[in-house]
Amino acid sequence: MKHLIVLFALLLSTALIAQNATISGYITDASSGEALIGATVIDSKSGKGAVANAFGFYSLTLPQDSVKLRVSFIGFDSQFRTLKLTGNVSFNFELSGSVNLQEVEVVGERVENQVEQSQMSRIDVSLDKVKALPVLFGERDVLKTIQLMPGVQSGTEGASGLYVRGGGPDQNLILLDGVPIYNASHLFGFFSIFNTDALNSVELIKGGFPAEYGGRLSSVIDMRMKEGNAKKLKGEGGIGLIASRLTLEGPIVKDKTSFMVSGRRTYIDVLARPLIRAASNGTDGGYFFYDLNAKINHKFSDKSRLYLSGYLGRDRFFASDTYRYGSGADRTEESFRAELGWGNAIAALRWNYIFSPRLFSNTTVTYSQYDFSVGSSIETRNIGGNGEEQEVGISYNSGIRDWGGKIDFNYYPVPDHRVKFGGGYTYHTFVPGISRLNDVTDGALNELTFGADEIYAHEFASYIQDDWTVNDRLRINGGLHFSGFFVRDEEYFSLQPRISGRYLLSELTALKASYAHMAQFLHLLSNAGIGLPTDLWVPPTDEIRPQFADQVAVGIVRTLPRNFEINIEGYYKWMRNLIEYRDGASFVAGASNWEDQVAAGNGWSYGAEILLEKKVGKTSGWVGYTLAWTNRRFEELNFGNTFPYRYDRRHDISVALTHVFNERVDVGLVWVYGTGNAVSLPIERYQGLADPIAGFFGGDIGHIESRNNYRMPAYHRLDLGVNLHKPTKWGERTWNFGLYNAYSRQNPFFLYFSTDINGDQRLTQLALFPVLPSFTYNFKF
Amino acid sequence: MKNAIGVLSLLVVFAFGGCTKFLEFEGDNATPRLVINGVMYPDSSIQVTLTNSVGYLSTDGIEPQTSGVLSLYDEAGNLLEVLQHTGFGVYRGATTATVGSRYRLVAEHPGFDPVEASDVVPVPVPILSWDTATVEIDNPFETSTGREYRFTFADPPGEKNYYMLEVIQAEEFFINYIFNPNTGEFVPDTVWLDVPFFYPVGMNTTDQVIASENDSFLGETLTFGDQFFFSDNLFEGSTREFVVRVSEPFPGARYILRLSTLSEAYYRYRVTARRFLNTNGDPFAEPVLVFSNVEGGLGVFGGVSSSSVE
Repeated sequence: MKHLIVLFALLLSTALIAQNATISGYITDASSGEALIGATVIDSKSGKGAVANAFGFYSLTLPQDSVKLRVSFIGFDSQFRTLKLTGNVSFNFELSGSVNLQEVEVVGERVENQVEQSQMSRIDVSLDKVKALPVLFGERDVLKTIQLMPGVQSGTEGASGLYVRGGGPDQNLILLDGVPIYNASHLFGFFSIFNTDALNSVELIKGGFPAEYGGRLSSVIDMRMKEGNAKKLKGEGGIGLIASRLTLEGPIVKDKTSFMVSGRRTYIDVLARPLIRAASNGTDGGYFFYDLNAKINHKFSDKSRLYLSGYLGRDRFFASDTYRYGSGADRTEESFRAELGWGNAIAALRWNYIFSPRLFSNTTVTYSQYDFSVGSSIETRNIGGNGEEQEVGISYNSGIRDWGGKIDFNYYPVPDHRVKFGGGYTYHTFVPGISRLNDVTDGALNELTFGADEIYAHEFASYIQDDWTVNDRLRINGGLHFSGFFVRDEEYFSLQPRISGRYLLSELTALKASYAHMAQFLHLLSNAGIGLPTDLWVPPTDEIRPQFADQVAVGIVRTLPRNFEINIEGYYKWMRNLIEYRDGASFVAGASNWEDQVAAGNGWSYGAEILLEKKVGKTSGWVGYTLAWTNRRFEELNFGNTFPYRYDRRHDISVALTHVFNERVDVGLVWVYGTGNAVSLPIERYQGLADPIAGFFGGDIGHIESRNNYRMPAYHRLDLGVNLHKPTKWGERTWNFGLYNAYSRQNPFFLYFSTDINGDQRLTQLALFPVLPSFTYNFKF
Repeated sequence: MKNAIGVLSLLVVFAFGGCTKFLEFEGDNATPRLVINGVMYPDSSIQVTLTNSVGYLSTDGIEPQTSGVLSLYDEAGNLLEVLQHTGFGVYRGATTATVGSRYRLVAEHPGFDPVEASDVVPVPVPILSWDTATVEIDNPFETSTGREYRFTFADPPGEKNYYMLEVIQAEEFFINYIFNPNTGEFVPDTVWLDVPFFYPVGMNTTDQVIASENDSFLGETLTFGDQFFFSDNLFEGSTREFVVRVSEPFPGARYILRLSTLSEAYYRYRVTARRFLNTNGDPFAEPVLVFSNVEGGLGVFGGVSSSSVE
């Protein structure tokens, strides 16, 4: 197989490039050995260039002549190399960090800045910005930063859920080292599961999807963990208000084998338990979450590298209570216990192999699991006489497990073509809600299990794409993604054409357009009213079909003076076979068959997005604005009429700025504004029909005119932060002080009806967070 | 250190304690509308109740509207009669509803915008054959003896039909209980009332037509309820056998298997109203929109025909 691939590549290459030679290798950070994903190599003479892939590998084929290479990456000093190219050569470049980033010229983006890229609707999320911007409780959160991008909306106050261009939270393909993550939230979404210290790069794609991605409709968030410093032992961490974290990385064998391990844990339980105990008699309870990232990689040779990475994270709520009642022989002790837990576990084993200077491969074996469980039990024990014991418990479990494998190739036949192709397979096991009742009386167990059975499914995908520089002005990225899904006796196939391109109007201005057809075989059952981790992943069935979307987008990008760049895009997205819970459906309504609880329908979203960004300079950041409409139409919901999506947000504004005063002090500011979410509320009340003949005696009915008929108040918030850095003998420490919701806006989190002091019923808004100060002590060595 | 932990604890509690605010809400003082509630039965006079809606949070009461003018029209638009108020917002006419006929009701009342609704009295669908048997019923928690009803009917082809199925228990004699203040107990009255008492009893079924349109309980194969609503979506125009089971018959009681044909409007109202009442107050349940066919107002003006066997 290996020989066939090499032969194929060589034949194609030979046909295309008779007098050419290839320069290839890795571009890494000189201080750590980390791959510099997206770094560029340009031949100044020909103007041809290459971009380092997700592993830092580049390949540039040029005519056999003298070449003058410039290797650059934003934030790093460029390197130059002149040589006479007479045959294939391998060069690994190690770039050093720029001394003065604020003054740096943006040469690092000469080839692959937004103007040059064929792709649109794509954003590289700066991890420096993630670390510099103020956030809730000072807990750095990459998903919260992504929410500040135009076209991306947050759900409710503080939540890390993403709603991209009218899509649902299930429609985001969140990849951590190539492994899909099914639930990216801690603490009901207030924090994401991603520890920023463990990440190397984050890329967001919200339209014009390259063919290499598939399986979700609305976005791709491709995150890569750090490989681990290959040069020397390094560490960083922080002690915050509610959590602490520590990351260690270093070489096991210098420049050959390195590791990275990063952990984080909250101590809300430690803080809250004494208060709970003090305020009650015999009650205990608490909550915590933790996560652990680990990675080890080994370089067998310049051609062969192996990476093993994993993530483990869990949230746990627990409560217990004991009380006694009765007297004499009837004296009884009753103990109540309840627990709620959820978490992800993933693992990825990846092997990079370079078949030839123009053919790079990555083979991956993955495991991903998400599970949710809730349970409670009551233990009753006679302590006055006969000692009889009884324990009655109920538990509910749901989740999903995936085993997968895939192989991806990057092929660079000539500089004008960058070809990617590959395929993969995933074996899914769905646990769509199983409840267990158990009754233990004097040691005898009676157990009843009910709910939907585990469902097994097979999914495959293959793709091919070419990023083709047609001429100096036109560049196109076209491809096909073909996928299939097999579940029970059903088979689904989908051929998905993808194309995007840019046309340079001038050196500084590009027009862009894209079309993508997307398929998603998985559905997420999500309760609209609350954001609990009860969300349930389910496969398509003969009743619930796979989801499909078509998205077209057009845009214009222009580089402005003083390192500003403006990106304006318009999009229209159609989505089919979306699912929603039917009216009245409840995840606690017993183990009803989930297929009976959902309705399927269509949705569409359209709008315009503006992103004005400044990436370098003392003051940097962006201003984003989104004007959008998002609607749904389900035959079985809202009497078949169109209704606004819960997160239909007409206006969404975000401002994210940082300013560096000097090496010791920088400040950050975030301001967001969003139209209120749409919810269903009864406006009128009336007497229902009473029909004794039909045995029906209706009570008062709350009349909801249409689904999502009420708009919550608008959401806006200002966050401020300051970072105070100081070099120390062992490294650097940073004090971070933040103010979340600086002007203490009472933003709506949840609406409910309550009674005021006059005894009148009122619509009441619960706002979670007033102004919240935070401080974190960060360090690195 | 202890103090620091205390301060941090308070901060966390403060953070998650939240704060509340009352909002101005259209539901505080929504403009009241007329509400019509009524069901037409074949060969029975048409009777409806006229009330008003109020803002969802309004302290105003829902009152019978007694000064209304309710005009009944036939399908051709001819005025048949004006219904007469008989008290407590109930209006009754002399016209008896005819199977297959459509009626339109226009209600006007001082202080309200006029409303109107129209519906049809559906044609009853006869039960073609039926049988009963004593069976063991496997409930989730126990096994018991019950009665199985097996019956057949033919769905009229070429039209959409909606059904409601019930097993009615009719107790001819109802024993009244009287509270004895001396003993604090309820004791049977010595007088037996000669008043039949009808009520639908609980049923269960594995029938997938019924299961597809009713909320299943404890598993995907067994559906419970005292009234099953279903349409002919899955058996349009065909003759089909249904099987339902009820608990062991109560000695001395009569049992009636009743198959009602509902107009679409009445079916939609009943299904959504039942769902609303079942989930009202459940914070984890999706909100329910209750159907209404009253233009400009609320409520339902529906039609029902029934076939039954005893």
